[in-house]
Amino acid sequence: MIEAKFNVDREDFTLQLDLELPGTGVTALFGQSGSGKTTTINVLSGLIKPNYGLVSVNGKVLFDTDKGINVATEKRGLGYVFQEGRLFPHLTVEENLLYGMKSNIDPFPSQKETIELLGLTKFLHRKPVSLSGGERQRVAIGRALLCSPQLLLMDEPLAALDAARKQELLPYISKLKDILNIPIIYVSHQIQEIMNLADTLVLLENGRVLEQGPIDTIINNPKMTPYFGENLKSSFIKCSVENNDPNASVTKLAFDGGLITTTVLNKPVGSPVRVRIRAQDIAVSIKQPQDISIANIFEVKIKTIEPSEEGFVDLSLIVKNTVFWARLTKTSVTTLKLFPGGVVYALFKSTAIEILGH
Amino acid sequence: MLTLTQIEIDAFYLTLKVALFSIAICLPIGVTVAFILSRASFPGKWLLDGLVHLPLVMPPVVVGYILLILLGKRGIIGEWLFQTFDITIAFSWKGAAIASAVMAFPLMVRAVRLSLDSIDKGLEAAARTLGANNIKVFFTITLPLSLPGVIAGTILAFARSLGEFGATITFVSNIPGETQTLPLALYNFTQIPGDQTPAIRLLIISLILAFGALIASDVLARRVNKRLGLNAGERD
Repeated sequence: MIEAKFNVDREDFTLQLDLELPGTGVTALFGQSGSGKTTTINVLSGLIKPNYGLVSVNGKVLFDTDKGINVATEKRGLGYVFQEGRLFPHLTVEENLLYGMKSNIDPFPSQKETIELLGLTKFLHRKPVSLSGGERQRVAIGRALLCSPQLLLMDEPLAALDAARKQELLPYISKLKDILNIPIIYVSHQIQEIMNLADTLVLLENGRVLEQGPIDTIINNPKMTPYFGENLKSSFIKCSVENNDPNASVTKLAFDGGLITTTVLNKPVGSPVRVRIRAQDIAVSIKQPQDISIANIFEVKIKTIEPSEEGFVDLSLIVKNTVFWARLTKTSVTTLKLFPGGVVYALFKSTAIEILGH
Repeated sequence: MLTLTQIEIDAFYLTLKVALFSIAICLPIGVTVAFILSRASFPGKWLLDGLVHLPLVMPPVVVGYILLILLGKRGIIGEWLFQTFDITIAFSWKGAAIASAVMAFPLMVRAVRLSLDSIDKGLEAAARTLGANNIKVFFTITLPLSLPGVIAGTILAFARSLGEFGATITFVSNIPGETQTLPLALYNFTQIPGDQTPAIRLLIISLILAFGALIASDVLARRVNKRLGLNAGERD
């Protein structure tokens, strides 16, 4: 568990946090610029000293004003990936990667694995200046991993990149999540990135925590919509790859409630996958549809019917322990005579499924 | 014309020796002071800053005279040095080197400080997150990245030494073979009426020395910039 309770008072800015974050998985710090995201991870890393408070990571106290503890940045054992990479320009890629490596600890993943994982083999003897933005960030990530951190801090690692480079780098970061067993704190103001990577979301506004919790709960909380800039109401479903059928170009994903059919995935059987289906992409039928191209049809029970924005209505649909959200018009609800407790069929196309990092 | 006279040879080597020793004194102290001025904040920093720049704004003769008062055989520090270690600085080439070093010091500090100020502090912070302590950060990040400034400062200091006149002649006089550097020898010849050839010969030697230093610094600067990865064209 990561505990961070501190105050940073500056002339033009106050950050007052009381956070308890899970000691595993990816926690996203989300908020507008100036909300205190970067300051927060700078406090965790020791680059900014809070006026008072307490910071501890999985039981190790890094900062405590009451006990007069302030562990120096270099002794905190954290990895930090900066927005601008901050590679050392006078060192080669390889020298950058090895800069923080400790002689007495074998990094996990190993040096060789890290270099392969991040696709850096052919750059090792180059200087950072000759790399593209995405390549530089990969080196920065590798460099942070090879110093065997107990906690990985990532400050908008994609923000300085154009859309194409972002798409290029995102899979590498997703892969990290699969491999590492240390907590990752990921700062971003891109909700799409966060949905892809994060398990937990902390919403910051004006130096305070507005909301924190599991990503799906926060995203589906109607009160939070204004902060994400659009209504993202979605079903987030944890699955594992059941089988791949490249001939039929489909992959079956098992979840608690059945099998989801999606477009073919390049992941081995058994790999964990998280999928997202937007509420507006799910349709409801009161009879089991036949002779239809839609591959995903589940018998579900309506749990709630609640009004949503712009005259729409959101239905929560239950199958076993899984919740699907469907967005319908008021007219549909009236015409189909839908009511809480009623049994209906939820329908969505394979192409409406967005695959997230697990 | 092609064979050099003893006076010319002596002046040439002496000038080179004085300049190199003056850099040897200037460089470590200059880098340290520049680092303190660039990174540290403490009460009285303005005083240190002012003190460093003093030789730049004072007439060289005054600097030479102050050195004489401090380091002369009967000077405050000079007398002690002579009695304890039997070291005489005044009226020797060592004195000339010290006079040069003092005059060149502000130039060295300014160049290095400028270079230190321009280093992205974020790189030093990044090094610390990677487990580097202050000493490692300084020697692996700060110093290598400030090398262009260190080189520029060294060349400025070297050039200042080649041309040092006022402080030198006041502090260590104009003794052939001991303290008579090229500018002092040249000055000597210009005081003798008649044939101008010896003075012009010295002028040409000075020119060659100065040009040599400039070319050497250019080659060095290119190499360093390449190593620092500052020219974007470089691949592999």
